Amino acid sequence: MKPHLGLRCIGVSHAFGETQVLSDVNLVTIPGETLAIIGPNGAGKSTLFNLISGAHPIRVGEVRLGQQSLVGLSPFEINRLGLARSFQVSRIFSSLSVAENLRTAALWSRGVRYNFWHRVRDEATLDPHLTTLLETLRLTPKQAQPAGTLSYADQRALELGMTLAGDAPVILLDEPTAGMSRSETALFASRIKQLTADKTVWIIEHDMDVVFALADRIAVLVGGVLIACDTPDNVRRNPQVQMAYLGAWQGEAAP
Amino acid sequence: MNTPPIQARYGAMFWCLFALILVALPLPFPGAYALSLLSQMGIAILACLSYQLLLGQGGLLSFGHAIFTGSGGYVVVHALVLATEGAHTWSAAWLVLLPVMGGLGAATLAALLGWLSTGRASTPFAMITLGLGELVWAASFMVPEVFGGEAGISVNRLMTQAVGPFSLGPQIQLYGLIAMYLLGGAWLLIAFTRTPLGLLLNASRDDATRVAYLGFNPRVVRYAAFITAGFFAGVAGGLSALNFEFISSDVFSLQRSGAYLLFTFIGGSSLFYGPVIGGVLMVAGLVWLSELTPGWLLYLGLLFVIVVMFVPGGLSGGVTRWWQIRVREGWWFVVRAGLGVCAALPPTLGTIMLIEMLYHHALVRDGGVATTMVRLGVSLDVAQAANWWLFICCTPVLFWLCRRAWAGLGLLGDQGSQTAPSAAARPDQGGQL
Amino acid sequence: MELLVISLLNGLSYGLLLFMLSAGLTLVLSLMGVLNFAHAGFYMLGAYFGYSISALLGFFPSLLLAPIAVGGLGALVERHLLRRVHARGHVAELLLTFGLSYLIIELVQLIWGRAAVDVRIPDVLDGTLLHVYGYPFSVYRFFMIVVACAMFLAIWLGLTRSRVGLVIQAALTHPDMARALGHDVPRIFMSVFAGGAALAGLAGVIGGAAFVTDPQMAMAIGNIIFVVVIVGGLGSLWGAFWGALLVGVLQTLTVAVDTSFADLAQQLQALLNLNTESPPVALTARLWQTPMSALAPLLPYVVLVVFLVLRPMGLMGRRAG
Repeated sequence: MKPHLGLRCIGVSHAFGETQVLSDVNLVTIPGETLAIIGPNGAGKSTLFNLISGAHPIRVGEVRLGQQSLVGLSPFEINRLGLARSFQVSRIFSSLSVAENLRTAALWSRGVRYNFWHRVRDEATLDPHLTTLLETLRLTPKQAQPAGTLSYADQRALELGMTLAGDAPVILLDEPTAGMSRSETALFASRIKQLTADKTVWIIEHDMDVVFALADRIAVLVGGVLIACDTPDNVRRNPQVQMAYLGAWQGEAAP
Repeated sequence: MNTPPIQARYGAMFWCLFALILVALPLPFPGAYALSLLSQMGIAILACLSYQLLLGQGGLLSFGHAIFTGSGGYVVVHALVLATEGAHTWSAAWLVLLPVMGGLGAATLAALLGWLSTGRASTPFAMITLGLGELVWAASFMVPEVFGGEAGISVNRLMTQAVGPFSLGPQIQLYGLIAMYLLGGAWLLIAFTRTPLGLLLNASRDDATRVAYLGFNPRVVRYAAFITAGFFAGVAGGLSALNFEFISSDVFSLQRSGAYLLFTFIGGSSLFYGPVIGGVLMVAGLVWLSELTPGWLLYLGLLFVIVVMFVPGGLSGGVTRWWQIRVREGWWFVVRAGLGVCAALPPTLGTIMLIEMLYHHALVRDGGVATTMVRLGVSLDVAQAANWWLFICCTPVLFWLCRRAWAGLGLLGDQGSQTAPSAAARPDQGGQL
Repeated sequence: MELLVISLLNGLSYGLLLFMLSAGLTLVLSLMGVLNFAHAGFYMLGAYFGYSISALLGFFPSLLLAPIAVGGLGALVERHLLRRVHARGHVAELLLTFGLSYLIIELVQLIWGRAAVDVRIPDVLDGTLLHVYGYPFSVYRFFMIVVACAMFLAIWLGLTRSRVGLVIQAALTHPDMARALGHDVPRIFMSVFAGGAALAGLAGVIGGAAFVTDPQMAMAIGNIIFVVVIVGGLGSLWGAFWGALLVGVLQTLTVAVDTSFADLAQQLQALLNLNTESPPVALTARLWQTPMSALAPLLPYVVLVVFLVLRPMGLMGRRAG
């Protein structure tokens, strides 16, 4: 069993050329907590994920996975330390079958390295962990199908599955329900909750129902600045957040 | 469409059948010329199999594969020179191991050059391999002691001590050696694809960045594939050196690298059948076709362009897709396909005739050959304008008729589709085969 | 040292010719992500069209008409061939242009024959412009420099000052956005591809008269411009400029300079009063004595490898690849 790890950002700032995208973001989560990050488009949420997961180098501030600093590490090094992320636009291996996608995602966690003397693709069955994952995501009947031929929702499910296949203790989910219908979203959210029960999860979401269903706390990012980070109820009542969001959800969610 | 897993398609039955075919092939084709062609085809198939590891399995387009086939050949040639110039006469048994030495030499070179090349994939990789290939080729002319310069280096297999009747002198014995290496090489390469590294290679072909987010450095994956492909290319090159008993700097040329690319690509994305088709076509095209018609390079170029544009996944990929359609639509599809082929024959023949006329006309203009040419039993005078007008007018009409026929037969389904490219449509992605 | 100056000038003109060629290649690569293997083929076609049109109408009309013809051909290629393959990714496009390069060479041989054709420099451009330390610097070389500079200026102005140029720059990094704003991106692609081909054609007309025009000219210069594009950084126009100058000058210098390393080493030893021995191994000793001019063909690729090791993104590359 992997140890439980927390994730924290300390004074993280980032600029693309002249444009300041993130300013002094401080976020701490304890192991097992689910943090939702919300904010208008362009607020810097995906950039934050990119910094944490190693896509961009961290120049100002620090990110810590447990006790380990992630500054200067490449994406594969960060993943090996226990952080896995999903993508807003599904990044799956379209010519491989669904099962092989998951198998690939689980290789490192199984202790497999750049091994060319064992046979891994001849195994008739997947690990029980992956089989359960397939079932929960309702992908079992399609497991031999090439991933490129899946429907959009199934691809999002596979995307989530690949992120979770390695059993990483810290998960970053980037708009997992993007593009889904209302019913698909509700179902998917419950699956996410089920599958990430004991993990530290940071999730970027726009759908407030999902946010309230999953989040222990909510962080609100506007223009690269963290304007609130608190329990859902407190965030709802926060006047700054209400000002930033002239949107519908304020009226929807009755206190 | 679910495809059966690899082990079911390449099980014991497959290998027995393959071995049997290799053994039986020389029988219906007696004669030195046929045997020489078969030997060359075996070598070409092995070279294409090694190239397929990069292209089909890894999505890596290399323009420098000739570096490794060439260096394998040179290792073998120099080993043979060393062996036969000494006082001690080596046993022919050592000849059997020479291609492996060639492979190891090529793999070492791949290890040295590979880290430079595999930093990025796709276009930068192609360019870097192109540059390195040209560098090696140009450098080989600088050191005639090692590479033989323009004249090359000749060796003789027969300078070794025979072991019983086996001296590897007769072509049939060399064919046997080539067949064994082809069998072994194909088995190893297919086995490689079943390993974790093979899986990662396929994955990084589809999305190298995602592989990084799953804990693996895609550069290491590419590097490992580069070295492995280099090894088998070196084996093929070593066999080639043994076969021709000659090598020169020509083996490093861009033409060679281009040929591996061209024919492996035409052969298609199938892990095994692609290189088989590619290797056979390579020898058929470069050796046999070039003797038939002066337009052979144009035909090959046209074939290549047609395959790139209309047959994604190459010939083997095309066959797979048509087989899948047949499974869906039954044998009626085969009938329609057959009719489609018949409809395509007249315009194809017309185009061939036009091309032949063009080349013959060029020969007449350049060299004083008679203006009458004979092709496919038909005699044509290229000086007569009427012959030209006949083909220039008829061929487009025939193409148009063929297109109408194909539309009527329902064979034009996949082309012009606006949907996102399916998994089979990308030529740099290997199929499930 | 006099030889050095004249070689520098000649190298400059050759480098600028290389730039004329690689500019089109790099523009197409930046904009469309396609590495056009047939680009050198367009160069060759420009030379041959120039030859045929010159024979009919004279050199200066061919300077205008041949690039137009090649550009038109480029537009056709993009519209009917490349566009079909576009959806399947850059590798497919690259392969298509690779196949095309073979076809172009074969067609040229069919139409004009396998031997070199005689392309004459027009009388007004023939002869020596001036003498540099006693070495002649030809008018034609100067003409090459002028045309190349004019071309570069035209491209730069076109890209930065005109509306079309701005749209192209936008479509360079954000094709979908440009399309969403109503610009006809496929038409822009076709225009840029045709433009690149026309540039190559222009380079061909000029280069064909300066150097030999034969079916091998595409292969010969094709590899060099790939080196230029990589060294300059894939996708950067300024990078192509400096890369072309670097490669052009270096190549010309080494061909002209005839001392071998041994002589150089001896001169260096004499200069520094060193007393080292030459390498004992026969092979290295022979290499040491190779005249630098013989190493000239090797040089672009050595530069390539040096860059790959030290600066893989090239001089000014910004394309992630």
